[in-house]
Amino acid sequence: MKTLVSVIAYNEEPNIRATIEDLRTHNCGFDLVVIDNGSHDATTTICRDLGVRVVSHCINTGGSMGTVTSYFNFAYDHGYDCLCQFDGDGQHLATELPAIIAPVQRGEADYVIGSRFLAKEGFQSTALRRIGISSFSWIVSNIVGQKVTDVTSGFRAYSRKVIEFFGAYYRYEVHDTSQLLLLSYFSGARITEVPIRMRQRAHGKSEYGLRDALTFPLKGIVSITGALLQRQQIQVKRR
Amino acid sequence: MGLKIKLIAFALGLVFFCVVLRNVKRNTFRPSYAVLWLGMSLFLLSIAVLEPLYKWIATSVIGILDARHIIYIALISFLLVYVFFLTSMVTRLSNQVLQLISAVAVLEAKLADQTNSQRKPANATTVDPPKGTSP
Repeated sequence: MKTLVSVIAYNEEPNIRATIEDLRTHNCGFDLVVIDNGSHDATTTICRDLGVRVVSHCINTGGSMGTVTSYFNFAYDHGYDCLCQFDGDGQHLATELPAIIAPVQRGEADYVIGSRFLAKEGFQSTALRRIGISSFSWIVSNIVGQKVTDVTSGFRAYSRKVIEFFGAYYRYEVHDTSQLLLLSYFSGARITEVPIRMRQRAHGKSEYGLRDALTFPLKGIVSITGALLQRQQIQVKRR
Repeated sequence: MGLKIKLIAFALGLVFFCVVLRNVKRNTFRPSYAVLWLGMSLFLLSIAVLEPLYKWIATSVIGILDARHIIYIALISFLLVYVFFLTSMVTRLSNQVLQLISAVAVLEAKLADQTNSQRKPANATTVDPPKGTSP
């Protein structure tokens, strides 16, 4: 199965080298691409020096969700059967990749979420974020009819079905991880979660600030409502 | 409405009309926006000229005693609808910009891949992109 690991990076100069080296050390048979979201520092230069393919945005397109379109387009164009999103800030562990990719490779799932809260090991995020994550996970769980514990996790794997949906059909901006999950679910994707461990970023700070924390719930609710309203349209298209 | 106010409204309407026409001439307005703003400038001109008509609409048709209120309501409604329209337009454009940024980035990566593969035979020391062995 042709597998792509897409590393999301924005101004990750202090972390990106270690992230790529970690991925190379634990390469279990995947290709690597870095999606650089318009970094101002040496992120792309470091990646290119390391011989990694880079898809570089000329302008920053927002948070990690701004890179979703690019990695789906890239994976679709290059005919990948499995795609994995991996953060370039060093929070994700390459040793966890086989666990995330395995359900897709076995044909058991189309959308795999690496959940920090299943095994409750490693970095568990701040208390405020956990409240937000569990609230949205609860809402999404009720919609999809199965338990989802870490809907905002940036450690995800997608099957060809999801790659095709976002690479060829759904040509709109995706604003939120809940929306991404719901759109995938409505397009027929089977969702599953696997336990993972995460660590705290070694250098720098998160691009998400107080403003994002305040607007996150409202934007999330609007995105979920939007996905619900598009449900029928997506299901008709799927048929 | 006093004569002075009428003259000021008419002058403003006229200036606005000329500015819109100048923008149409310079192609800085799309036709649909130009029609909208020409209509707006004509409305401003009509406030001075057609005051009795507005008074009649306000008192007899809608039942508002002061004709100025109907003009305020019309203007505020227009602005709200227009801001709504612009918001939807900005959203559509930002989506298109995102699609373009993404398409350009993917194409650039493809081009870099092709350039690297063409250089490969000439320069044996070129570092290959990491390729996994598919299981």
